[in-house]
Amino acid sequence: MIEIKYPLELQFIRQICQTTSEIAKIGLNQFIEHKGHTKFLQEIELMTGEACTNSIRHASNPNSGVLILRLILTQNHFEVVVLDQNPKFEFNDIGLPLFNKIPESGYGIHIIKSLADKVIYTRTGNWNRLHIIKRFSHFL
Amino acid sequence: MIYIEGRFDTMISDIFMENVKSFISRGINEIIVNLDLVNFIDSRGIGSILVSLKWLKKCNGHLQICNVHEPAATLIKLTRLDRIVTTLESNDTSKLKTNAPLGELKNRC
Repeated sequence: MIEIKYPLELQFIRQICQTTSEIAKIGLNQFIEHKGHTKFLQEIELMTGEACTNSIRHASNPNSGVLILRLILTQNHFEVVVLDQNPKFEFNDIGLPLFNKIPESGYGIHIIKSLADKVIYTRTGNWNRLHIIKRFSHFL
Repeated sequence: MIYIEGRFDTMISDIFMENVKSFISRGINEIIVNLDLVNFIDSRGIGSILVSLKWLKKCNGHLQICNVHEPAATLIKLTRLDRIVTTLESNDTSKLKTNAPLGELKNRC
């Protein structure tokens, strides 16, 4: 597992996305044929970016808080865990965006839920933990 | 036409919307967003297209997108942007809704 702490600033989103992609790429060669890499990495990068953007945008105290990114590579899947100390939110109650109203934002959770194989939200103490799992099997 | 090159994300979306505002202020309200060179797009990029679409509609204009391929295609479908914005198959300006002239500049974001 790799753990990185970031300040709650949007300027770090690109670095977060690209770091996640690079870490995933290191281990992927063992598990996925090369042609499957690109799409897998794109989806991992997108989900990570959306999760971290949400953490930063909803931070109640951006000057003093941190975002913790944990990346875990296994033989079967890749895990992205995003931790923050924002207020608790009802992840499971967040439904689809109201597409007919053409919202300009609010797509992040929908994107993550659509692309991930499993998403688990937990709250421990004052920490939110969003755990995203993406299996390799679809890309073999 | 506005070309987006590379990552169409939080960092670029504000620049993109400033470009659209600039076009509108100069009386240009027919905009095509060329996504041919986009290698990453997130919900902020999608949101900026939607904001721009709404601005253009207010001044009786149109926004279309062209050259959509992966990874943009997946996200455009997930967010249902493809049901709201006309997607041109290629860089085919003859498919514009009106005969209004294109913007003079090709802006690269």
